[in-house]
Amino acid sequence: MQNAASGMVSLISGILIVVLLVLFGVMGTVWVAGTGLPVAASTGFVPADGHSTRVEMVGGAASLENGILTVGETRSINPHMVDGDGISRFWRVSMSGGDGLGVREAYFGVAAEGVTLEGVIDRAQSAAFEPGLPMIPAQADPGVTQQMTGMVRFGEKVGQRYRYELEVDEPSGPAAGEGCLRSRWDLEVEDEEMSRTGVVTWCPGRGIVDGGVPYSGYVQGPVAEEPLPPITGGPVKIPDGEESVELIPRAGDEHFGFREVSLDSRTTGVTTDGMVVSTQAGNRGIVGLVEDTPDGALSPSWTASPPGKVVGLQVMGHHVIVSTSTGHLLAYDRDGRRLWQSEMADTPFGTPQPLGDDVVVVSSVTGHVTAFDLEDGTERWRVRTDPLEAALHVVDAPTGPLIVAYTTEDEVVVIDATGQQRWVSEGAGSLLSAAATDVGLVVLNGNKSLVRYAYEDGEAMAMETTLARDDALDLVTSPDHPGAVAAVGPGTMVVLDATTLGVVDRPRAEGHLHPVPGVGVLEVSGETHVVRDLLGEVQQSWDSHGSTGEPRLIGQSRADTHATAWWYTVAGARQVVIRVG
Amino acid sequence: MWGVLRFVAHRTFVEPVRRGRMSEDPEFPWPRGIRVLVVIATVLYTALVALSVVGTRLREVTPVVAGGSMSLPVLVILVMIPAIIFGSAGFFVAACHWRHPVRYAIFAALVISYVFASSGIVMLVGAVLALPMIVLSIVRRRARVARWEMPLAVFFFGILTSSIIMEPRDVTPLDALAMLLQFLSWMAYPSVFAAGAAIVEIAVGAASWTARGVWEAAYSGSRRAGWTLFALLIVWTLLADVLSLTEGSVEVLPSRLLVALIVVVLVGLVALMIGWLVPMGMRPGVPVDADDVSAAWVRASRPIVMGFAGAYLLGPLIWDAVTFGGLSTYHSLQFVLSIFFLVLAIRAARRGEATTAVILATSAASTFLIQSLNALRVSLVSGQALTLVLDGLTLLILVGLIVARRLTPDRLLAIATAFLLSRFYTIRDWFDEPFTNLFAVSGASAALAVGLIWRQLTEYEFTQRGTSVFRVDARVLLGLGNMLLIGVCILAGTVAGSASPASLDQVEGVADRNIGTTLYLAATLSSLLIAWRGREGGDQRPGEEFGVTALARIEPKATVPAPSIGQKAVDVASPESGTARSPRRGGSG
Repeated sequence: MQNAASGMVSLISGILIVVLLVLFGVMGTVWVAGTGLPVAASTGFVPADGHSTRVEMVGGAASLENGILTVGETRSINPHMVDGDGISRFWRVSMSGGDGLGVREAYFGVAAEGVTLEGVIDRAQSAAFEPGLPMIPAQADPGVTQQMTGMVRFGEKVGQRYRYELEVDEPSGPAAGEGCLRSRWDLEVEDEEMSRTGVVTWCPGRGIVDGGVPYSGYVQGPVAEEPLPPITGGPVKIPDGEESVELIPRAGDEHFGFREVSLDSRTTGVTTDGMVVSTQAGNRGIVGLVEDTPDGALSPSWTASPPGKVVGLQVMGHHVIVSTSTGHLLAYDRDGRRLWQSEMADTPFGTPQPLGDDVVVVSSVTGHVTAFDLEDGTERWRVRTDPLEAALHVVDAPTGPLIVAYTTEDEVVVIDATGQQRWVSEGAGSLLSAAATDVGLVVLNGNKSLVRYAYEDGEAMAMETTLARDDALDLVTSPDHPGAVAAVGPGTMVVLDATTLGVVDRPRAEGHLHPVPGVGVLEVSGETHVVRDLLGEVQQSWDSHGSTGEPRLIGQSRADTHATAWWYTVAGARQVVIRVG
Repeated sequence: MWGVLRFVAHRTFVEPVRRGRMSEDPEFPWPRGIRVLVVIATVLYTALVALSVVGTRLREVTPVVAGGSMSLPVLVILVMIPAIIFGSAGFFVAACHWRHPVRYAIFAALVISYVFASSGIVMLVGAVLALPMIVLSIVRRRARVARWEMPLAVFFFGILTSSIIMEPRDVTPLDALAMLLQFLSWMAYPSVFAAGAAIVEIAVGAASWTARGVWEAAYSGSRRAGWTLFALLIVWTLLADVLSLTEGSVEVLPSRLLVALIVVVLVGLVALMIGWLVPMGMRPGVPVDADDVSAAWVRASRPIVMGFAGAYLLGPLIWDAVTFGGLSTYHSLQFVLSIFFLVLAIRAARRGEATTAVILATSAASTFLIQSLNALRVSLVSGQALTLVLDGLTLLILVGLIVARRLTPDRLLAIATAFLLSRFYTIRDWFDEPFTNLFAVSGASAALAVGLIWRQLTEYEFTQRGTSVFRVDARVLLGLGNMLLIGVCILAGTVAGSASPASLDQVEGVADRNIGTTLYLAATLSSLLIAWRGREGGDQRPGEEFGVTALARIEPKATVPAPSIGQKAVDVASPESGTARSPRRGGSG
């Protein structure tokens, strides 16, 4: 009897629990499913569940897997490259603010709840957000500030708490494209005492988004079926074999140059005879552009469609070398004919690099470094390192070309031209740049320290750590000044003694600085462009009338022992290709 | 051969589940009300796992609710909310009846989770409702779990959870739920850390039992077949190692191999010395082998798991308060952990728990050495280098035994076990392959999901027996709460449209490296030590403990001798006492 009563009590208790759970469960579910903030126009901007959305990327390597969209290189893409006709709907992200210059890749989650920023990889380290930062939420009330907290993990460190605020604007008018939605975000990381703000613009339609952003990348929606519009525009003179720069304005028009579509800074090159090679929209092909009109305009001469999407493009002499997302390496001649096709160990990482005159070397994220013969694409050698943290650098050391790699184990690995691993040394937070001097290999680390290593054994011979407050991103050397090496950033230039790495000079910069390999820096201040050597002496100068954007290096052609740089600068709605060096 | 396969499958998979699942021990019968709760929780957990498996398809065919940070199918929310409520209630009631300081950590975790996820009115409501719950936690401390406590706790946490979801504020209800889940997932960290090493656990178990199974079969069947298999194992090892050395990986640079050798030798010496502390441990022979390590792992690894999980969680909270040699707080805390593990190892050794002591000593030494290397900016030990060094040492010992004519069958078993452990360790990622497609995820997510489910099947041995400090009914509730929370994390991780707020993938990698490596080292070093110094009590003969075809249950082995008059008896059968060893018969060594 007692047992029966006890059993009954247990049963009643169980039933009560079940009833409560069902009640709370149903109540909560109904509330979650049925209640939400008023839906703003943003829902029209967000694609359907990320698993089924087809997106194309422009701007480097891209993939959409499991709802995570990876945006490639997001630096300095011409914001005027997309212009209306012929380009169907797309979503475009432009991010401004913060220290965006260093961001190399950004990972966005694209799903029904909207677009969230999952993580970024900049030059120094990676950061992953848990949960992701909503950039364009599917449900958002314009004008209302949303707040949230979470954890951000830098590299493999323990997570730190972040505080995040997001405010979404009303859809903007035609000036910013067709119904673009803009959101402003504010991120604070407590322990790092880091604070970042930014603006994200998403545009579902066609149209030019206003420029003036330090960098931008975009996601293209359904692929354009129509052919690219013809390239028209003002004349440009591409001197061939000449040493001086000539800019020829079109008669009656101060503006000069040509207009290019889908020209990506990372996947563009110039052959020795002046042909510009670029990728097509969505990195789905490459196009060779030559001057073939009386007024010097560039127009497509040929197109090619390698398998997969173009990850990296490099021009070596008359060869156009392309690495693709399917793990292929291909070579084309200047007429667009495919010369050979080889298979890499796995997905490429970074741009193929010339190793001497007849070898091209490529790397993969998983750490395969492979050298291919330029003429026939046969594999010369392959080395496996730890997974790579940064793209390869190839430097011309006095003893021959050297490949400098940086691994996820925080090690600098140097491989010579025969594929022999010369030495491994401790790194410091990724590799920004490397340069060969007469007295050793100089490496600019992610933490902005400079180290000079001996070529023979990688022994660290000198170190400089005072650059931490500089924005140096590149190292520049010049055969005219063998004893010096310069660390160049957008706003600063520091000249150091190559032997001691002691700071020799900090020239004052008037404008934005760009490294010119083998020469010095290009300083852009408004419309004025000045090329200086490592000692600050002016080498060339010109005014680009109507120029409003920043120049960038699109390729280097090698003529004799000097590297010749072709610069691609923005002049109003047009661009001009000039040669420096 | 089928007998061997059956034996290996039983020892590797069936035995751990049978031993570690949540089941009733007749010596410690469950109160009536508990069974009902187990049924409810099991139904919920089954629903959670089932939804995880079909999650991707579910998103395509059923309505999805989107918030600012994640999206979930409606059906998932319907199951998730009750699971969160029941899980929280289970933790709370269990802590109310646990007379140990750990109860305050559970209370704190619950309070922090619900407070941080709420604001304004909800906090006020919660504070008012919490008063009777606080009274409950004080007055019911020594009593058994009453049948009205769980309904009351479910009601309390149901009100709280609903209030958090329904509270009007700037975040969507789904985001509020996500926030609650994010904080509650901290309580899952110990299980996640343990789960991160689950694949290694399976690999080590499979390796040690395969070696023993084949050894037993060879002695009762064909010795020629046994020798052939052993020769093939050596060939496999040599091929794998030569491939490793010649593929040009920086993981096997001479400097890394040297560092790995130093680490292995030092860790082995520490484990040996700790073994000497075991009563009668100074006599010749080693008391622990790989089978013991594998069998005792779940129990012995608890302090290791809790330690690493605690350091992982504590790190952000005490930033810069604890740093050594330029290391981050998390890595610096591991120095503290290593000392803590060493103290525990010494205590376990003195209590006669040799296996537990060896495991803890291995963890202490390897953690200390690895962090020391970090602080000195020396190349880290790589898994590949570790395996190569251990293979090299095994080969060296084998050659030495052959030359000295001391290669007995028992030592041959130890050598074979050591080789097989290395081989299985290097291919451990294959063990989660069958489950990858099932969960439609890949990489870390699949490994974590498999690890979590494995742990849910094997880590609840503590619910089978009770003590006066922590009764069996409260233990069962703790197990149920943990099980449901893990289930919710698995579900959120596999079904949410974006990175889940309870995303635990990064922890899996840390756990595999820290904890998985400890298990691998402990098992392999035990084998090598036996091969080198011989087994305590003499060689083991085939069939001495169990037969290949008779799937006998493995009992804990006790080495502690019967206490003399006046000495306190050690409860060798108690779960808290860890694995103890039985005295072995003497024999040739």
